[in-house]
Amino acid sequence: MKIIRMKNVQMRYPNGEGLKQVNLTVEQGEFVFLVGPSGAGKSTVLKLIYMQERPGLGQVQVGQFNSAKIRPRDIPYLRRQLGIVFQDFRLLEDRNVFENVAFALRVIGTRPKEIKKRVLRVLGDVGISHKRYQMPYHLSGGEQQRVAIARALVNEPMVLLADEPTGNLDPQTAEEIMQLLEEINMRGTAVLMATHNYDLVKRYNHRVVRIEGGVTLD
Amino acid sequence: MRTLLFVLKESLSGIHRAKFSAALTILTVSISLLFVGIFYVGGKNVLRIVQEIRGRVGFEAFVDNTATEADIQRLQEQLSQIAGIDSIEYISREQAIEVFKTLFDDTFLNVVEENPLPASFQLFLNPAYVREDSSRAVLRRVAALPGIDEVVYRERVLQRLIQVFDTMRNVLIGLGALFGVLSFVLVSNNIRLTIAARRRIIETLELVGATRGMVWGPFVIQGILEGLIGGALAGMALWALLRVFSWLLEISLRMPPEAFLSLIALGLTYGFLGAMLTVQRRL
Repeated sequence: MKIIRMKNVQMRYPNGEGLKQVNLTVEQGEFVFLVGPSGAGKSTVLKLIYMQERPGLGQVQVGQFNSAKIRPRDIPYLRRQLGIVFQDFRLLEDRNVFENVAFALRVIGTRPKEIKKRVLRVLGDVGISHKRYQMPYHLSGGEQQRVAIARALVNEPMVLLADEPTGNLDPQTAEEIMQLLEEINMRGTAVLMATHNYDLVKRYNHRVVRIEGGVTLD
Repeated sequence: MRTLLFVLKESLSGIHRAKFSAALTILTVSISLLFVGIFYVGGKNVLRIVQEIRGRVGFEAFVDNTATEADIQRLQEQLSQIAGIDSIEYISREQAIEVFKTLFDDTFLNVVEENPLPASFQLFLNPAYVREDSSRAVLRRVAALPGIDEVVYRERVLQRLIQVFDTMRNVLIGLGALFGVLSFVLVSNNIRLTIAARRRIIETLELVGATRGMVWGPFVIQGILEGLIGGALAGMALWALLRVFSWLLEISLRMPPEAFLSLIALGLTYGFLGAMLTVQRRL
């Protein structure tokens, strides 16, 4: 079953850059690499999926949400079904690891007891529960990315969108994060990972979608 | 309910995390609202003083020395029928000399054989007739009465004073409005800075599926709280200031009962509108 479908999507930023022709599908439980050089449009594809941007032409379907029909007030409900991680981790510097992950649950009104249970479980899953009371600035890059992944997973999303998740990490830590994403995928969560690191992609046996100059080449 | 608690907690934590900026905003809002209060209460007190002065404005109508008791009775009746005269006080020749003695050196009186002072009527105007044209009309009617020797309109200075006070009141009200706008701009600016400082948390909120109300809520509540506290502080400071000035100047400066609540309501409104406007434009 397809959980993401982008068909003949075009999108243009005011500066003239954007996407010319994007076709992309992600099946339930699948791991897909979206590869391409910097500026090829990888991040824009992800933004279209979590509907921070809307296509000029074509349609983006994510679960039951369609870019042509979705109302702005429904976008938060789409995002609650997605987990999103970035190269720069985007953790809240003013709260500890536990609170960073719990934040995603507090926003959707989860009961405090449930929050504690789920946060501890997901922190255990990403191997960082021993640092749950530490502040983000006391953690290494790899540890911070684990916290970001935990935050993305705590809502049990249908797909994890990862925008260059290893871009700021040394090769060994990048490998550890890749292993973690593999495990997450093996547990059933679909992963769509944008990266420009071809060497890393070659080591994993997953479907690769290339994007160049705003055009996808499957 | 949990969502509301989350929004409230986030707004309190926003204030707590930017204590200095929040304190500065509250302080500046309370100072500018204090000015609003000063101008409002000042304007009110000026108005009260003007009313009191208006109540005191009147004429002195001197009675012909040949007038008999019956003439005076008749004059009093005629005067009481003139529209615009609020109260009439008769001062007999004997009373006039007594007043003179209390005010001046009475050696002068020893050289004159007879009481030189005439009897008079002190006529107090209704405040509605204090305007120059209407008071002149009253004056003409009084002067035309037979038995009235001369009418002295002694309040020209007071008229001028009233004009000055009227201008003062208008200026005070205008300045109050100006400082009100300043409070609004201050809250709005502080919320803008808070939004800039909390850009990361806003992004995170949006990414993890926070609704628009949850993203806006903390900032709007922060604006309301800052305005509310600023208004309450301004009310308290105004009350203290009036006490001090009353004591220093030995005059009664009253704080109108609605002033305190009005300042709080004004702070709340400015806080809410300032925050809403900024949030709508920036988020």
